[in-house]
Amino acid sequence: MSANGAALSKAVLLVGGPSVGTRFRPLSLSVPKPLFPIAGVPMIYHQVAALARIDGLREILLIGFYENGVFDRFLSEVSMDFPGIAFKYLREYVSLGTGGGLYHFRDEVLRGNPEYFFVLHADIASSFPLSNMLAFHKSVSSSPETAPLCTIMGTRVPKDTASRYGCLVSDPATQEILHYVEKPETFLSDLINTGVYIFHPNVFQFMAQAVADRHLQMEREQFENNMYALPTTRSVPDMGTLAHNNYGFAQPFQSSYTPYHDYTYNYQSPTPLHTEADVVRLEVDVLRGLAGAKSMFVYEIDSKEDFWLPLKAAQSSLAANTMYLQYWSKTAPSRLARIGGFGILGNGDQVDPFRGERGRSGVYYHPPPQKEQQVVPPAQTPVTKALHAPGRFDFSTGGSALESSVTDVRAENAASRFRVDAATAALLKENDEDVPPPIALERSGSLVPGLKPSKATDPAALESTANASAQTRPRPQPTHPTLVQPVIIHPTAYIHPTAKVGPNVTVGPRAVIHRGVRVHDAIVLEASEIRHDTIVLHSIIGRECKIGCWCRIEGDGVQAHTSEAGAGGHKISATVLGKEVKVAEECVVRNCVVLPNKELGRSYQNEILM
Amino acid sequence: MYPSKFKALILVGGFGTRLRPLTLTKPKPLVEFANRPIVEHQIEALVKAGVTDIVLAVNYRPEVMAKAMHDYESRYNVKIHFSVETEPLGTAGPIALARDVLLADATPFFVLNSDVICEFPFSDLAAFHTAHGGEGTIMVTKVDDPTKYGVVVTKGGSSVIDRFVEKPQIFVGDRINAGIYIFNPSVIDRIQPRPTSIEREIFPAMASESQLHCMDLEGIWMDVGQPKDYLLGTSLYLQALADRDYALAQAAVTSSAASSATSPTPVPSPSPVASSPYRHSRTASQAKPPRLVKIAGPPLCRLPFVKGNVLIDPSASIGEGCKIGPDVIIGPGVVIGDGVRIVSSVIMEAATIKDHAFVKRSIVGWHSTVGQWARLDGTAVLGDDVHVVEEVYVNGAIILPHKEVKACVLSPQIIM
Repeated sequence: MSANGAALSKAVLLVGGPSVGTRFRPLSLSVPKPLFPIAGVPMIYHQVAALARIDGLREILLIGFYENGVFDRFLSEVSMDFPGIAFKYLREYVSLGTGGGLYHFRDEVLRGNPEYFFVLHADIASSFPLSNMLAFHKSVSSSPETAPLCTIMGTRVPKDTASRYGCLVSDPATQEILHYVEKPETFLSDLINTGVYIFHPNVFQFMAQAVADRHLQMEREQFENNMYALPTTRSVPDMGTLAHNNYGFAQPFQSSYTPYHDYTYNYQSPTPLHTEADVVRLEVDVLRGLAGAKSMFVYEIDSKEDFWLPLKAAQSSLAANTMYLQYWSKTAPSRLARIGGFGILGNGDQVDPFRGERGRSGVYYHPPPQKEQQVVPPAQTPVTKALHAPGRFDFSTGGSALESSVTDVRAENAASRFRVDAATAALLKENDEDVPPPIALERSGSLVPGLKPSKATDPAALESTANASAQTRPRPQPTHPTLVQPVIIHPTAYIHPTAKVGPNVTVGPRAVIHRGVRVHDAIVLEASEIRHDTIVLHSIIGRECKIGCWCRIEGDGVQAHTSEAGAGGHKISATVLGKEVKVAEECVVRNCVVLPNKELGRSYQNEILM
Repeated sequence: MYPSKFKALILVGGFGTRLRPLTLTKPKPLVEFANRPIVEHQIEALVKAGVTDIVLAVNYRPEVMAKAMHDYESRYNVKIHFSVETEPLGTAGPIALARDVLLADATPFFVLNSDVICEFPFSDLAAFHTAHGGEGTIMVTKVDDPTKYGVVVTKGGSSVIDRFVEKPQIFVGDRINAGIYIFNPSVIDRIQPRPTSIEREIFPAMASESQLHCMDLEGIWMDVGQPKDYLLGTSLYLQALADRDYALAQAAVTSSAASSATSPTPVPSPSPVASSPYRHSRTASQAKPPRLVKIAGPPLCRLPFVKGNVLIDPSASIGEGCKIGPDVIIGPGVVIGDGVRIVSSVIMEAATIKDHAFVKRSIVGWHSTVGQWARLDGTAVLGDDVHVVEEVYVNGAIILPHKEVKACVLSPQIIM
């Protein structure tokens, strides 16, 4: 038990490694997939932020097989943002499957005797109703000792897409999971596994059994192979002792394979002796076995209040971005961009409601409620409570409560408009050179010398004295860009006052959006530049991309679940530009996936550009 | 020299289906080319060559044209007759039908197809015709791909036409019929008032008697009868205007240099090449005197936001931060918003292009609207009063009048 009475708990984030999640290319070619920014923060930040709101959660472990340094910066960021929680990255040196890594690091997970622990996949986007799920988990049994081994967060998906996921059949009365099949060939159920679990520590005993079974199975296979192969001196286990033990978890682990269960490991150093048998697939080897044993339950998320999306293909990050933004526009509008400056960011004694008290730079705050956005009425929760919960952010109340609390600060900062630092200013100047400045144009129009004297000599040319005297109309220039909420704009991004951004747009740090640019349903990543009068729809603009003027970067639009459609021969529904892609002016790039560092000199449609 | 009171027949003909959807709104001769009705280009050039009577052979909505022609009669001091075909008479039939006017006296008469755009050198044609004394002269123009056309083959070294070869498979020549002729009145005797093709029946007969001559047409030539050629013709026409302006400018500078040379204190005059703002500089030795382009039209627009050859009606208004050209024509009363890009396109009268839109290789019909951040490309044609909603991409589509385009049209198709 922790000091405040809540049970001690932990969480594990399964972040995978560079060799998996290939469908997320080309975005994962430049940044590890779990760190790809969605709605302005790394993909797994959303999981961390949701976990941080669980009382008693003291530690979050990242398990994966990325290089050691990959998550250093992320971990130090979240350590600052969520000071009450310890973070660690545990590296698998060999990919052990979704469950193998978890099992391998079980001592780390069990240290401190947590009452339960969360396991979340990195490649999902959700509102993560973890508190409700935990309440359900605890409601299943009266005492922690008899709590179920596992609670799965489930959600309903369209029937035709269900077979891409792990499908659950549950008892409608008790929510017990009766049957579990990973990616069934025929339709089983539209209730699927979201990749969010609460486990009881005893689950490791079950996993040990699963691992042992696999070892036995493989030894047996090897034995059978050897019977027909050359004679060997290897000792052969007595087949009579290999009887299965009917998944009795409490039963001591027995196997002729001795070294495994008592070797000492150190997660800092390469672990010895991993075999194929150590690969544990959480879904196939563990969950399927737990189904029907009265030890696994499903918490079904409320599809009206909450959302869930898989993040498999690169294009699905666009749908996830949209879902997060729309969710926040209902629950936490203070996270969205607002006109009028940097709000309270970058100011140490102010509070960033997203990042906690540290007030690290993150997002703009939204403007006072306008027609275009929906704002829920401020909740009656005392503001101070939200402010004093370090590193916690309550999706349900905190957003609107803090919103009202920051109004004054916002007013103070209203004077500070979109600021441009020196580098950005230079960039703007450099790139707008070929655009004629708005000058007062001559009425005479023709600059051909001698044309006027020739009036008498050539009637053909001048019988029509009509001459282009096109003039620029004086028009009031807007003082700030048009934002259609929900929009997140990083404070260091520059948006020209004549640009129109939103809905469903995230603009990353130091991105530059020039005059007359239109962006909606898009992610514009760090330090990319979109030149004047270009339109970007349903697209992801990678880091440091440069888009010329009068371009059209466009996708057809992504549907949440259909975006995952078929692994092969799939239709591209969003344009994704990898890192440092350059698009020449006046080009159309439609439904294309462009790998990093490409320069596009003409228009493309429905292509993958290597 | 030659009689100066010519007559002319303009073959307007059918419904102009190839130039739909524009011809759903106006008869083809009244569709503007470079901000003036196509037929006005022809009438003006004919009048300049001394034509006093013009017959329009029409079978399509003559009442719509009557008023316009009435205006031209007073403006150009010319008599315009309508020859209404009650049934299609081919290309030669209208000539026979118009015999009352064309046979009024013994002077030759011009015949021209209504959708041809060129420099219309009618005076030169008449002079050439009178000089050779044959019964008829047709203008020929050089093309790159003669296999698509009827090729004119002359008798070696002379201007006398030997024969016509329709769509030759092997190269026999690269001169094709430009659709502009001059005939002696005696030609009418060759034509029966029945459906007759002048090109396929009358010309071969005349050629066999060595009565038909041809004359090379210098400068541009384009049949603007369909959207793609209309746009191509526009760019050719604008280039001709640019060449004309350039020649005029050079002539002016040269004459001022000549006059200053005689003055006691010669003022150094700028080199004609260097003073030209829109020509790449060439050394004086390379520069040859430009051909004097005799084409009618206003001077091109040379403004900072304009690239290349662009014609903008003075009543149009252009927003800030636009880039317009090359090869763009903007009609009267057109309103262009801020940050608009227009390339190789024609914007008809009273159309509106809203902020940040992009229009390339397209025709925007009268009173049409292109919304903010919308994009037209690939020979898109908007008919009269078509509205393209903001952010929509229209690629190569033909939109009939009074439509609203709310969704992207990505492949060439016709929106009814």
